[in-house]
Amino acid sequence: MSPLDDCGPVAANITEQLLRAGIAPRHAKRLAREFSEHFDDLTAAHCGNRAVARERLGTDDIFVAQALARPELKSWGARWPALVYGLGPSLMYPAIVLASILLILGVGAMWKASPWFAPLDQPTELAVFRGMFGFLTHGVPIVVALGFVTLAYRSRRITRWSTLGVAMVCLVGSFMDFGVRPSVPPDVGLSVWLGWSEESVFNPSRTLAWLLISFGVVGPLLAWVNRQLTHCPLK
Amino acid sequence: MAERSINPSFMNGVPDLLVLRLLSDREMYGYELVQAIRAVTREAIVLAEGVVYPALHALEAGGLLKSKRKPVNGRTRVYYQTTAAGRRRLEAMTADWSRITNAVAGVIKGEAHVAA
Repeated sequence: MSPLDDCGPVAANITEQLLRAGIAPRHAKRLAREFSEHFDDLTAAHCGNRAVARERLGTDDIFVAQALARPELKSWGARWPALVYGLGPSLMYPAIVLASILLILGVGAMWKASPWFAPLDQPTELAVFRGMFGFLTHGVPIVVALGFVTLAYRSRRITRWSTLGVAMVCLVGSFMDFGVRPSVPPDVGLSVWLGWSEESVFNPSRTLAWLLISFGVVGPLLAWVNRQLTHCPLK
Repeated sequence: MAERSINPSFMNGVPDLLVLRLLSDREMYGYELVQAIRAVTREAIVLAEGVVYPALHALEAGGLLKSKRKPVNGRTRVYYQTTAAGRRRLEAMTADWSRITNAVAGVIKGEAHVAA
């Protein structure tokens, strides 16, 4: 079916073609909508004669080729797939952890300076920090991986780079560890660390457990997205 | 309508020049702009009308145009207009175009042969 045989699928089909060709989603959706609206205007201007409107507008192949001839319209993932999808998740993970720690320190300082400040008892404080650092250590890699799979799907860029990038961040996350314990002397606060330790690196069962959890969460989404893109050919 | 085919290699940069020039007068949406191109060029330049949108988006991505949505007759239109950078680029492109067309005109009239 030609996309111009029916107004309905015009935008959706051209959006799909543009996305798969590497055009950034924000451009692809607007380009397709404007192209479709132009067709409506031409049809109205020619008293409903869709054949003339179609001839004047040009085929969607010409339209897609013209969009591809403009490198500014390509997504970052299409321009630099290795950097964005291969290294992106592994760079995003420490960036999020660092930003979160700075945020925790900032919020903590503001909380201490506020008139509503009431010190927590140590067991509660330990539990709160263990929860936060547990999430930063093992939750963030999974969230980052899910985010990049979603991003790759949105740009129709599920490639070996996106799969490798997601696998790498899950692997890095499974080697990470953290610790929260009372400081010595005990009344000055908590001692917190996050990173790789001998125990975390040389502990295969622990690493394997986190790997299985990470891939157990991310794998089905990645497989579903892959299936969607492989088994949904263009109209 | 005068049907004629134009060698695509001769059209490089032409849509951008036309778009910047017409939008430097007033803001327009895509369909309006295409009709303006047809009218101003007296249909000497016949393009598939859809090709104007990639040009508009690329110019906007380059900071030469800006767009805004406006409701018109119950529909939302994307209006484009040139930015200060777009006007500067238009001046440069117009100067280049004039230089090239003068040079080509000179060759066609035989000035090159006379000079030799």
